[in-house]
Amino acid sequence: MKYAALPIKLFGLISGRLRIKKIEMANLSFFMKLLLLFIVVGSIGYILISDRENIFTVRGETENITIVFSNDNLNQWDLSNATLLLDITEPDDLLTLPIDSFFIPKVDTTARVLIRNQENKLGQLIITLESDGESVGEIETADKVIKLPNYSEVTIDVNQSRVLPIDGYIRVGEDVGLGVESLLLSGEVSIVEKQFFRDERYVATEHKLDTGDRVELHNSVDIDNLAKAKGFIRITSSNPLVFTFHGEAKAVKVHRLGSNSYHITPSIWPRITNDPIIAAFSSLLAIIFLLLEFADLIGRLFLSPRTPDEKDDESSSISKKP
Amino acid sequence: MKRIIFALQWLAISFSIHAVDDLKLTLVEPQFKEKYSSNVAVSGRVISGIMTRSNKSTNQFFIDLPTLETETICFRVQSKDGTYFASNEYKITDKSFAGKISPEYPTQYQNILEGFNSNELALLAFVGSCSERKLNNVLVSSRSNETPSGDVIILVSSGRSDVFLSTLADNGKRKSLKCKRLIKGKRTAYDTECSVKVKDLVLGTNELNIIRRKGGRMLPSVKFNVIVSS
Repeated sequence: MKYAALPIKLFGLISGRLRIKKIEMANLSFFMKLLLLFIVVGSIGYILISDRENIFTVRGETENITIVFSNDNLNQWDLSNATLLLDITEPDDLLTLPIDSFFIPKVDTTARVLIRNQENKLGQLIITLESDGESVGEIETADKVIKLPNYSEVTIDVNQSRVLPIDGYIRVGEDVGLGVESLLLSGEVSIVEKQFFRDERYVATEHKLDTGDRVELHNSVDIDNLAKAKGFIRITSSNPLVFTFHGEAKAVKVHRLGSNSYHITPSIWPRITNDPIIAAFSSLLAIIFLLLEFADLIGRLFLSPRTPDEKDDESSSISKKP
Repeated sequence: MKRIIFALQWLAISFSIHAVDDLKLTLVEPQFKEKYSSNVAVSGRVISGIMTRSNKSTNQFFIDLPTLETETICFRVQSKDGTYFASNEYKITDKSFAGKISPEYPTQYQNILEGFNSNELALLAFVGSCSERKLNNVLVSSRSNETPSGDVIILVSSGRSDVFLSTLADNGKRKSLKCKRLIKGKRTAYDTECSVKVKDLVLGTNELNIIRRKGGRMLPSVKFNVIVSS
């Protein structure tokens, strides 16, 4: 009798340990699921908010644009038939440039380009060149080179369309103030973003500009640090200047009357719909959630220990059998 | 104990300074005229401010006052973004006084004024009433009591024109200096900064001329006198 109860005790002990192991296994599985979730959600979060290469494109119509030239060879402007003013104190002392006159700017020279459209007359393009150095650059003609001082003004009667290529730091428009006559008329900013893994791009943000805005491309949102851009200005008679420029940057800064200046930056939401890696991770997350729910359901059905009430219900149902 | 004595000394000195100031440059009208809002209309003058460059951003102002025959001066303060504007007339009670003086300035926007850095606030003091349209004799203002050693800056509302400052050189001929267009931030009240070295100005009256060119044509030049007393 003493040893008769031993197998029963042993069975009870083994089944008890197994139950504890089941509970440990359930805990382990729970932590594994949590870790998996954390990894997947973390990966999606990182891909969503990580820094991307963004190309900003600003295009529109304006009456003025300011360029600070870089040292790129693109910056050569055809100033054929232009009128040149070299000394501000002698405003009537003007020089007419021959055909095939090309302006080659010095680095950091500022060019303010302004169009003046006049009724029943040809439009006038006025380019003001200024530099903190000794010269704004030079004009090469067929037979000579004209070295320009640190301030010059070029006037062109626009009787044919021209394109001025630009490379440097660009500001479009003027903020409205007393005596301001020329403004940005309309425009839009679009941001083209690179996909996370592939070398493919999608349009992340498009933003309309208002008349009177002043727009700059910036390398940082926190400090004023202009970004370099490349583009062109198209000049036609009796029309405003048409401009397009592109540049890798972090934001477009917009100065708007009646409000503080603000930045246009790429939104993270278009990444969800346009970046396949985020779409894939989101789908994976959905599948993992589904599988976890399913595993949890199976676990509750087959692995969880029965409560004493469940046992009582089972025994009473057996005893009730005839 | 030392602290208490120091505090009492400081109070005594500051009271005495204010008492002396009140005697010399007091508001003509008891109502101090200033505005701070996003819709402040800027004055139509080309010259927005003439002042010495100071690194301090204080709300205390100083005017380099010469001995004047007239009793009234106008002192105007405006911010570059056009949000702050104050224009008040002051009465000179002691006409024999010459030197730096702090005008009575009971502003309710102390913190806002301190927030404007050196070229974000234009100070303009000129002889005569604030209602006078033509600017004749301008006094040099500053945000610091220190003796100016660097530049006197002239802040110009040019309407985005190219601005040159014409001064009289040592040889008696006029020379033109290119002024610098201000780029950063809103430029509602002024947009250009001209600078002239303090050592290039003479004690007494200095005749300056602002030349403007815009959109391929010359605009009328603006002549005025800067009076330097110290």
